[in-house]
Amino acid sequence: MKAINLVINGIKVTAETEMTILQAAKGIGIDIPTLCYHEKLAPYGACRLCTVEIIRGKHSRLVASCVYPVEDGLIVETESERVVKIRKLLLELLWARVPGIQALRNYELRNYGLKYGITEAQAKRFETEPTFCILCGLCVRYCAEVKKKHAIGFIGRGTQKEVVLFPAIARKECPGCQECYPLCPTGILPSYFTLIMPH
Amino acid sequence: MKYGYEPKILGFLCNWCAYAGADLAGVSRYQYPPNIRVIRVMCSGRVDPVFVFRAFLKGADGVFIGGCWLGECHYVTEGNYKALEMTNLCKKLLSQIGLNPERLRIEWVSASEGIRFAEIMTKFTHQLKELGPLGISEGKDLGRLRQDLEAVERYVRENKDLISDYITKRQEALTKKGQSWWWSYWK
Repeated sequence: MKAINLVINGIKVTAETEMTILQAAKGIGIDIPTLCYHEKLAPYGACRLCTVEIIRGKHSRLVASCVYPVEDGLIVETESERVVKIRKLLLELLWARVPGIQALRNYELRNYGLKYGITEAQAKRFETEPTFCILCGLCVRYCAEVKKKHAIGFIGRGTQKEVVLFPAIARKECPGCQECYPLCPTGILPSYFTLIMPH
Repeated sequence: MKYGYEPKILGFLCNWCAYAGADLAGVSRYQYPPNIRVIRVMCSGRVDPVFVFRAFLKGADGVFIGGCWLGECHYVTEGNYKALEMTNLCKKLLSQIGLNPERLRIEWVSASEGIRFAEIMTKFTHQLKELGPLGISEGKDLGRLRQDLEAVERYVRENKDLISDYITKRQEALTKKGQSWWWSYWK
């Protein structure tokens, strides 16, 4: 395995091949906000909150650090002006799907928003349907990859995409498991289960 | 300690379904533990987070909320979805102060399900008996427990507008989901 040298926020980092920028940054204690990332699961890149700026020569690009592999001689900025601007926009879009999140403590999504100075009034300018699901896919991927039950999945495409429990499997498997409940960044998941309970 | 301990349960029953179900259980003479004290509400959506925490403050070991089945609320506002979201929120708050969230329970009982009501009450009472008295079984100091409960009660009372707005929005989202085309197809 070849060692790769890169620079994150001005700090020289030695990483291994097949590591992502996010993992390399975590190794030296740089905190990049993430919502859809989980150690047990394959990187997914859905929330785009982990966006960082990479600089190669004169050019710079915005990439999702949780899926971007490290490269030799890469210069990474995790909190540059451009990154913060786009992260704010992303957080506003996410907040628009979860109205009233400001009142609730202990939610990562809320804490990130407050960290970057988002207010609910700002988020209201986006007319997104408040579904309380940000489609991070944590529950779906956890069920498929860790538990291998496929009791929960996505349905629909594009703006109609949503998370559903498949009653035939979920009624059997979910009552004894419920491991995906604490993963949900908005806490709506337990209610979905109640919806499919047999009459 | 566990021997001879009778848990106190406060029940909020919806006038149209759960209360009628409890009534039917009584009329049909089904046996179930007498630990529940019932408060009748017109709809389970009437139950406020403040009620729940005040019940725990006044010495209830468990709180039970009974409503109509989802999609069968007798009001167009679909109050039982609201009760469901309220319960989830309260469970979260309960576990934050170190209490077992199982002490709060929501169940759907229709007016014809007297047996089901009796079964649920038996199970819930049994579960609370296993858990033991409020606070002691969770290893909490009673003075501290009181303080924490008062703090949470104050929090939900002072942020009433925010919380009710939040619950209503979630209820709308859930109602929409519960009424989408594929949902009825699967059910």
